[in-house]
Amino acid sequence: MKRAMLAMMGALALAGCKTGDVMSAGSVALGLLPLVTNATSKPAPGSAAATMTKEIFLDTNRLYVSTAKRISAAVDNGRLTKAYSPDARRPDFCKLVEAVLAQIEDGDVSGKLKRLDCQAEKDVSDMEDALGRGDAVTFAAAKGRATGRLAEMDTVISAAEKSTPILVTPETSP
Amino acid sequence: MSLPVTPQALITLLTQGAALAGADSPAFQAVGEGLKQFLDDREHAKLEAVLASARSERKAAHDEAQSKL
Repeated sequence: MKRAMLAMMGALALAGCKTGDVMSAGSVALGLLPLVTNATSKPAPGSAAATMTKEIFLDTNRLYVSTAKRISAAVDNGRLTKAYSPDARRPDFCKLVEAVLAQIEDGDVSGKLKRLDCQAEKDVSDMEDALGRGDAVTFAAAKGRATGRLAEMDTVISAAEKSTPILVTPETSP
Repeated sequence: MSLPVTPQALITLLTQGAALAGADSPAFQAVGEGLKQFLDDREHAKLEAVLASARSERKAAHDEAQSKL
C-alpha cells in the first residue's frame, strides 16, 4: 500500500507535470477532482469572488507600472517639474498621504500627481494582499480605487506629455 | 530534474494504485489528500513567484517616479 502511494507521489514529483494535465487526466479519471483546488480558481458566476483573479491583478499592476514609468519619462524630458509643496519633498511623503496628512499646495500639479502615485501603488498593493488572502470584497474595492486613480493620473500625464517642454537647468551649488 | 511522464502514464499509475488499495479505502483517500496538498503547494509556489515579480516591478517603478517628482 505504502509502495503504491509512494510510487504515485514520486511519479508526480519527478514528472514536473503541469497541474492542468493532472487535473484534467489523472484526477478526473479517479474522481479526485473535488479534492484538487487551484489557488486562483474561478468561483461560481455571480458571486463577489468572481471578479478576483490573478490576471486582473496583473493587468492592474502592469497599468500602474506603465503609468509610473510615464511619470519618470515626463520629468526626464521636461514635461513635468518636481513637486514644490514642502510635504511632497519629504521622504515619508507616501506615509503622510496614507495618514491623510499630506498638504499639497494649490497649483502644484506634480505634487498632486505624486500623491496619486502613492495612493495608486497602495491600492495595487492592497489588491495583491487581498488576492493572497482570498478576500474578493477587498480586492474589488481596491481595484475600483486603483482604476479611478490611474485614470486621473493618465489625464494629468497626458496633458503634460502634450505640453511644451520646460527648460531644465542643472542645479548649481553656491 | 523532471522526467517526461505523460498524463496517460499517470492515469495508468493512479488507476493501478486505486485497484490495489480500493478507491474508497482510507489509504487511497490519503493518497488523494496527498495529491491535493502536492498540487496546492505547487500552484501556491507558482503564484507566489508571479506575484513577487509583479511586486518588484511595481516597487521599482514607484520608487523611481517618486524620486523624480
